[in-house]
Amino acid sequence: MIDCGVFRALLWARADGELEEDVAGRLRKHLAVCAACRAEQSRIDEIRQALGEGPDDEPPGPWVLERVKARLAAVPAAATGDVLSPEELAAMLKVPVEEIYERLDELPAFEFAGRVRFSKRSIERWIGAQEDRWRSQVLSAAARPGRS
Amino acid sequence: MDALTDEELLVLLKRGREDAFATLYDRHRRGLFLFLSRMCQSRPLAEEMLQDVLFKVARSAASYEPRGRFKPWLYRIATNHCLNVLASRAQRSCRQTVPLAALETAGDAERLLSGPPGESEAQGRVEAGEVRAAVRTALAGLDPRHRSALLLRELERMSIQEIAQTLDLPQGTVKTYIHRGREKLRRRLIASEVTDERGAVR
Repeated sequence: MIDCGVFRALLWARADGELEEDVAGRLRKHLAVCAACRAEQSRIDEIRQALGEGPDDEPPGPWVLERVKARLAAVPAAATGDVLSPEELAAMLKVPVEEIYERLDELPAFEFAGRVRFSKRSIERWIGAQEDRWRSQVLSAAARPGRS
Repeated sequence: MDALTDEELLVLLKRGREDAFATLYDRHRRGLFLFLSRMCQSRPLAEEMLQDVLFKVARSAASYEPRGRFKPWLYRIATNHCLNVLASRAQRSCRQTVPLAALETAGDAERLLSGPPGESEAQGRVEAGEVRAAVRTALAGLDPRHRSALLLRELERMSIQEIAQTLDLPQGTVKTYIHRGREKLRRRLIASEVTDERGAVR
């Protein structure tokens, strides 16, 4: 006889639909005679039900799409291309263009035909890295105990 | 439009077809909204995030590579946005999470409204409400990364491999996150069963 521990490990696998038919059959037979495992099964069902869609989870109506479209239309055309000029990058980051030239060594830039350009994807990745750095700075500052 | 796959629709969106965006939205709004709601446990915040995610999807369509599947790509954008929003809110409110507090009060209100237990029907309703509250409280207590992995599995029925791709994590890590998440939910549920029994003795 296999003990209940083995069957319990299989319950989630069954809920995920990842059990071989012969194993599933043995599990069914065990559930028929074991109340403790049936209770475990009903907990899984309850968790599933609690996580799933309820009456309060009706998604919002078409107004969402309209608002998103309005936001998309409001974005300046400057930042929609895949390659940005320093002026376009300045507009995207909402800083004076001088800042861009001053900090060229910090930014992922490239030169083509004597002009500085930025790939939008690299800039977005760079922003992501800045966000991570900033967050970890803030978090470590918050974690540091206050000096007394 | 309806006959096209998500991936084909996204290629159309990339070329500026607005109707492709609407079709994609119709297909995924239900799942996406539920995912966001469960991630942040607040409807107004989920509605706000839904708009942000759709905005990002439209803006990122240009960088989408048709080789990948649409759904992991969509949920990757959604999860990253969610984790960012939750992290910045956690910083601001310093651990005091409003949605969680609201949830517990909601459970109390439900108990009060249904009056003293007696009729079996009323009692059944209270129990269902308590189970839901217990599970969602435990969900709110999970690490947001664990929560996202668990929800992609439970709600979107994604495979471990798809979740790993979506969250940019090794498959083993995804399995651990899901297992831990389920175990915490289960333990919270058992704890609430014990309280119920104690209450019933009186």
